[in-house]
Amino acid sequence: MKANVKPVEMLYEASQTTLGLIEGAVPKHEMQILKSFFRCMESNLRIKLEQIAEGKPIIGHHFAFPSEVFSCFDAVPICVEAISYLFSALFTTGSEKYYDLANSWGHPYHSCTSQKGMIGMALEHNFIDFDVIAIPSAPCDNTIASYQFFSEHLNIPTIVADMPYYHNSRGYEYYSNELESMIQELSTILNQEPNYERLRQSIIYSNHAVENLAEINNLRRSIPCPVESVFNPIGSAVQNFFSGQVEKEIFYNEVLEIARERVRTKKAWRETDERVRSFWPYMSVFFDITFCEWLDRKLGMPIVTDIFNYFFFGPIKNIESLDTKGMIDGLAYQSMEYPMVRQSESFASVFFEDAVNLAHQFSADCAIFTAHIGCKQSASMIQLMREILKEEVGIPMLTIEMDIGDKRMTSLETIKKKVLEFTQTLL
Amino acid sequence: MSATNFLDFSSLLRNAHLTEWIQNHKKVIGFYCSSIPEEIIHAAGMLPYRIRATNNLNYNLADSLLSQFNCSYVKSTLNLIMEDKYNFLNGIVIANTCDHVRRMYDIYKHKLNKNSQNPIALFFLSLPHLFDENGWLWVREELKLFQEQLSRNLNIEIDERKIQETNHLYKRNQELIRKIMEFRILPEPKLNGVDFLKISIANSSVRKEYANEKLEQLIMYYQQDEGPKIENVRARLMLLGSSIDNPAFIQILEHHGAIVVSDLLCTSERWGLKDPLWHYDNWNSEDPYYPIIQRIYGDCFCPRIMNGHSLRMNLIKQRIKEAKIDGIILQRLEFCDLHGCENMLIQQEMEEINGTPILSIDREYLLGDTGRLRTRVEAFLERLERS
Amino acid sequence: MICGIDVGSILIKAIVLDEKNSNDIVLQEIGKSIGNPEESVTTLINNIRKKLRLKKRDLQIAFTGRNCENLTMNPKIAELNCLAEGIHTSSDHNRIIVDIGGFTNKIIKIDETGRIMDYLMNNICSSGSGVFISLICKSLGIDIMEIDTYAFKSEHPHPISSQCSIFAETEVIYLMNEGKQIEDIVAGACKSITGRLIPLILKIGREINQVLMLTGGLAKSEFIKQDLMEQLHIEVKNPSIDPIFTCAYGCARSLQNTSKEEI
Ligand code: SF4
Ligand code: SF4
Repeated sequence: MKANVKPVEMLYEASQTTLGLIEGAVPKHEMQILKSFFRCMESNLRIKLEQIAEGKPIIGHHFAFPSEVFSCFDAVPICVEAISYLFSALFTTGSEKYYDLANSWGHPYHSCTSQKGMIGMALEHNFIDFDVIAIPSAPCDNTIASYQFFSEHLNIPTIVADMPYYHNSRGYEYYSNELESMIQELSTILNQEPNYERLRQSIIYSNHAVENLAEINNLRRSIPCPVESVFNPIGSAVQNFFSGQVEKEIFYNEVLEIARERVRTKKAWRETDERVRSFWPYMSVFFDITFCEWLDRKLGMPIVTDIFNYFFFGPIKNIESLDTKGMIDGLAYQSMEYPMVRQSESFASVFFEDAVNLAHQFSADCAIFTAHIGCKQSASMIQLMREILKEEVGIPMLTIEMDIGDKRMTSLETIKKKVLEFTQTLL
Repeated sequence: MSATNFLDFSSLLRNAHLTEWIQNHKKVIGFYCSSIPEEIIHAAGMLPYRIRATNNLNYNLADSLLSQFNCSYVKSTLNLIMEDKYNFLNGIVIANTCDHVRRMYDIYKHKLNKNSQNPIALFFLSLPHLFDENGWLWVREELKLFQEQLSRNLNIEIDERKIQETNHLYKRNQELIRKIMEFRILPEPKLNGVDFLKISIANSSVRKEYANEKLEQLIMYYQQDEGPKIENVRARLMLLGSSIDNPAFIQILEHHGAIVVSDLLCTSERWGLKDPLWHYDNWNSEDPYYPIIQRIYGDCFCPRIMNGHSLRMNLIKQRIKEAKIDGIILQRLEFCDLHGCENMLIQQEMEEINGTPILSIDREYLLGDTGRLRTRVEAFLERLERS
Repeated sequence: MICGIDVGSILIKAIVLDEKNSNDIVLQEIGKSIGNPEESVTTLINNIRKKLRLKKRDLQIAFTGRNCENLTMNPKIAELNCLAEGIHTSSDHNRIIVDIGGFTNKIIKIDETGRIMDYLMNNICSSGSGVFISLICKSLGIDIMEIDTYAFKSEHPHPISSQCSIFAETEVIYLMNEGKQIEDIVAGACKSITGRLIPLILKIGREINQVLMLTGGLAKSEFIKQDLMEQLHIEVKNPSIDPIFTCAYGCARSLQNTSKEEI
């Protein structure tokens, strides 16, 4: 029997349509990054669907998981959170129907919409037939609590790699062991022997992506910033959806070329001048990517960086010659230092230091913090962050309470109003 | 002093025993969750004190640091801390139990300690989110490291013998609480849910040698033939969900003649659970840390353990039978994702097996409009009576 | 003459200054913002012109306020900047402004030049702002102007715990049914307003010797003022102009500064 993958099919169609639309209607040199993203998305989803049709098993995974690991197997990885949020970004009514279903079934209204979307899809029987789910025990209570729906209610075999709180050698080693046993468990469930050469290839893709992103970030430090703000929300999607896959390398490569060209020719790529450089210490808005266009074109206020689009680690070294243990150690280290995981599943000092460094390095004029209703782990840190950025960098921070995946909590209009009000006090 | 005076310790942060302890220049270490190895603190000659939000009136100060998405129980404790009501603490131990609690460490570090003339010692424990061998071994190491830090920081010797002694004391304490839990589930209970919570709270605010003495007196009191008993119980309720440290909340549930005979709350009955929830077989039970690991980890009933749901469900079902439960109150503090999602699963599973009726309540820590809640409880009791 | 019009969520406040005569306040007018603000604003402007016998070109107008963005009329000036300018030009420097509006509370810190250093607003819900208390007064059947009279009589203010205005309204009904005194409920409601303001003020932080300038609809409540003083141990004042007109006043003054160019 063919596996149910309706949500993936819907996303594939939506990517095709969106790509067709923007390639047809938008002049060649505009929205290049968005176009690149949809090209990668379209091809990634097409291949995934083909593989699923061939009967390959599907692995559901969490966004904070090193999905390179799955390349050990002949399987199709799909990120749970990315599905919920791609729905909310690409469809007019987003994931709202699914959120409501999950809520009416008892999922707390304040629990994160990044998993709520998928919970709703399952309740509507419009789900993905995951053969297995693989997740870390981080970076938040939502991850810990919501995934128990999949394991306990849907009875999907769920393997958890327990992530310790300490980002030190003891912590990395523990997590590496966890990943190792996870590979063994996956091997049993999927009835496949792990192929570590494929893992190596996947890490090579990721290494290139890591290097390219570092280079992109170097260029983004230039004034004016050569990269559109939309890079931020879609960059997050790229990391979660294409991790360990060739599309991630391709996307960052293309963005890098675009950025290089813009810096080299000093050609303005948008008619509005850069007036305020905004740094988003947390996430950006996911439910409507046109918001970023508005920031760039209407306000002249590019997002110069956020924590999702900055890697605080380099590529895994000597990958050609590393043994299996070495590769897994490398992935364990990287994934504990992943964007968001590093700041969320650890002491707040790391979060504050990162924010201060980034604000300095990217010459930010202000900060905007999206207080996402799901993220309780950051809820207690917002005021401290405000104070620290003020004291140590001298920039003001605006906080906007919202649901990054549901426009009904704080509408785009309200968000824009708050941002506009904020810029008026800055200029 | 009559035996029941001990219950009054729950209504104050500073009880008589604590006051005397402080006057004798002895140290007090605060902690947030049941997963903290108080035994080690005790063995170090200090008083482990479970932080609670007793008598907090508003969030004015705490709201200046936290956001509107924070759990109002943690917020209330912070409010009291900022009002200087916890100035008897010499240190605090926090673990990665829930997102709200774990961030208290950061708040202490980056704000409270910085602004204070008497910064307190901060300790952290990283605890696993899974029941398995790796987790067990990790906890064992954490305990060792915690003990070392505690000794170093507060300049106190803690040897194995002291830990062993403490373990005995704690074991006894758990047995005594268990005994009182038996009085709760009698056909005519000897005490109601309010009083049991008071006992549990008092028990977590004093040294255990003192507590044991008081608990023994209480047991004698309940055991007397002419001792108290509650007749004509309208319904026998079980209370589950987020942390509760305020007896007034249970009072509302019991207002119409129902009795909370079991609760499985982290602030209450979990202390006296009979059988291990999860157990690691390949460990030497002579290890002085063994009972501590079992208590804080193997018996961790909290939804933070990702592969523990079915074990928790089994325990709930077993307890429903033992305590002859008529109905369950599932409550969630707003913004508590852990219990919120767990409640969702409990409710669905109970409905699927056509099990015990459930009333779901979302609440704020500060009890405001109790009228609405009372009406809902009354309607629930009527439903139980009809069925 | 110059006129600043503050189109708030509930009320429209207009102030007319005589720029030739050291910016004396010539007229203050209030209208309702409910329904069609464009229409209400036009009526208000016509009234002003009529009262002052001014021709169109003799009255320069600028608009501000939460509800002004949908007006077709221009120029518009950012509300926060108007509040800052209003306080800066009417009082001594180095202030923290606490504005209790219909739906939003704003805390603004300004420097000696009137520039905004930092600001905060309450989020999403309207609890602890003007409508919150007016809903409560409505359920109690008292006039909002009487809150001080009641609140000062209270011996045991009864806290309103609901964070949400709508729930607060039902809570009040329960409290009345339970036989709680009206004065205790009113004082409790006022205290929940200060309870909402205090964390915001603490978040902004204050240096020693700073004074809180209370503006907006509820700024005249002595009870709220005193409660803030007691809880924060800080001096709380009203501006020299009528506090409800602070934003309109600042708007007029800003218009003067920025000439006629559209903002
Ligand atoms: S968005 Fe926040 S709450 Fe949601 S899964 Fe990510 S870290 Fe957790
Ligand atoms: S009630 Fe929930 S959110 Fe609050 S402290 Fe307990 S586990 Fe954490």
